Amino acid sequence: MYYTPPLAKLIEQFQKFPGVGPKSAQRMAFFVLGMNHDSVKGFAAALVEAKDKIRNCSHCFHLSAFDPCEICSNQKREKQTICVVAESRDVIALERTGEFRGLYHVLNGLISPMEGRGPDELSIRDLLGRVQGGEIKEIILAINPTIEGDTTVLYLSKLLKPLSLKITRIAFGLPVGSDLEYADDSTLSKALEGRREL
Amino acid sequence: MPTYSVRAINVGTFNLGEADKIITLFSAERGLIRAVAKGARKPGSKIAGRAELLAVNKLLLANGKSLDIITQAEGIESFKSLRNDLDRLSYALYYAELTCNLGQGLNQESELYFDVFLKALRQLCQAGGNYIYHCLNFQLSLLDLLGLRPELDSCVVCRKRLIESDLSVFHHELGGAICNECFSKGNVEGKGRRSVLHLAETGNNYRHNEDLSSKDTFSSHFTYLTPLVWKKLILAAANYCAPAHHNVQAEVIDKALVAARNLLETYIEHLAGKKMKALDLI
Ligand SMILES: [Zn+2]
Ligand SMILES: [Zn+2]
Repeated sequence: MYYTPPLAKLIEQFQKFPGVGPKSAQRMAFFVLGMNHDSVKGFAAALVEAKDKIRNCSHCFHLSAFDPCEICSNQKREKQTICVVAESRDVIALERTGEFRGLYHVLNGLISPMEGRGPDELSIRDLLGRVQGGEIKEIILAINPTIEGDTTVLYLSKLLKPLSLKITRIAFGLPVGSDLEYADDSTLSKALEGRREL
Repeated sequence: MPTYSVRAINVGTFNLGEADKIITLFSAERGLIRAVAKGARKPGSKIAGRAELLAVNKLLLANGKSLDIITQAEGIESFKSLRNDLDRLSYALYYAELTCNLGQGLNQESELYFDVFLKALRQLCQAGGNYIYHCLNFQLSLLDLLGLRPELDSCVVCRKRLIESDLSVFHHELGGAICNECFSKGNVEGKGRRSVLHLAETGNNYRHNEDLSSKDTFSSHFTYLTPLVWKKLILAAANYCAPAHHNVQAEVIDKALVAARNLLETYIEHLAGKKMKALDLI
């Protein structure tokens, strides 16, 4: 490839994004060259601003430009319930449902010995600190039904059980609108396990 | 594209792009393989359950440019009962962690190791088993197949046959037990020497302590070896089934068993040059 150096550099930068290969990176770089000067400046400024201003909330570890974050500082949220999730992205997904009115706690990952992530690499100690404050009555674990998720749930419940709280895990089952016939065995058995009375 | 089929256990996974997973698997036919499971993270994906850690599958793989690609997966076992018990799940993850880190050295013995691994996972699924003892067995089988069986019968320095009253330490660098005489003389060649001498200077307060559960021994070159721990290792190495009744208190036996397991954990970590994390969960 014979890119002029600044273009090569730009393509290289775009290639750092997840799921972006050399072809897409080249397309993006050419798109930037086609943008007007102000838009490009705005784009670059947005990158820097987001990186500069967004931090983990010191209470719940959700990503926010404020500390405490918008959710923790919202007086209308119920302070007795904490929903524990692996990533900040999961908070956004749950907020989109509009069903949950409590607070969150972001673990920053799941326990995975193979990837070198143990309990100390997650914000588990901080969660215990929040719970020991005494105001919390219920913990909802909204954690993926994977081996890493199950390990994390078992570990958390071992730590949380002695604290006499209500601990629940969200149900897993069939995607809404899907066909029973095409579901895989593990999903079906999870769905059976999580059935409820009508 | 040329294809091949294997029976394999998933021992490591990480996410690739938006919807795929890269899986490290140990196969009976080819040992350790890394392969791509396309679409394994899409909701409702057929392969999602089969791409999970510890799942055992019959797989059809196609040779890819860099990594092979899983084109078909048929489940053999998925050990669902492990997922409700932290202790058992941690042991299973420990076995997977060991396989991930040391599996490369087992490619010649892949068929044998696959069976050992599968048997160990099945044992964990049985309720009420002596999981610590099974773990000790597994560690020894792994070391055996790696050709790194620890020397427990005679002193690794002077080759004298060891007896109960003549034990000092298990030396991780030298891969075996050392007799009292060699140890007190600091009669250890090579890398281990300095640390043994260092120990002789600082004295040892843990000598009669059965509970060697402290895990920060990773950086040191040896672990103290008491007669009880030594016996546990010898019995496990002989694949001896622990009797239900014993003239020593049950609690003491368990502590020695835990110490034996920790000793081998440290030895294996020394060989792998890496701290394993799964057993920390227990
Ligand atoms: Zn917050
Ligand atoms: Zn000797």
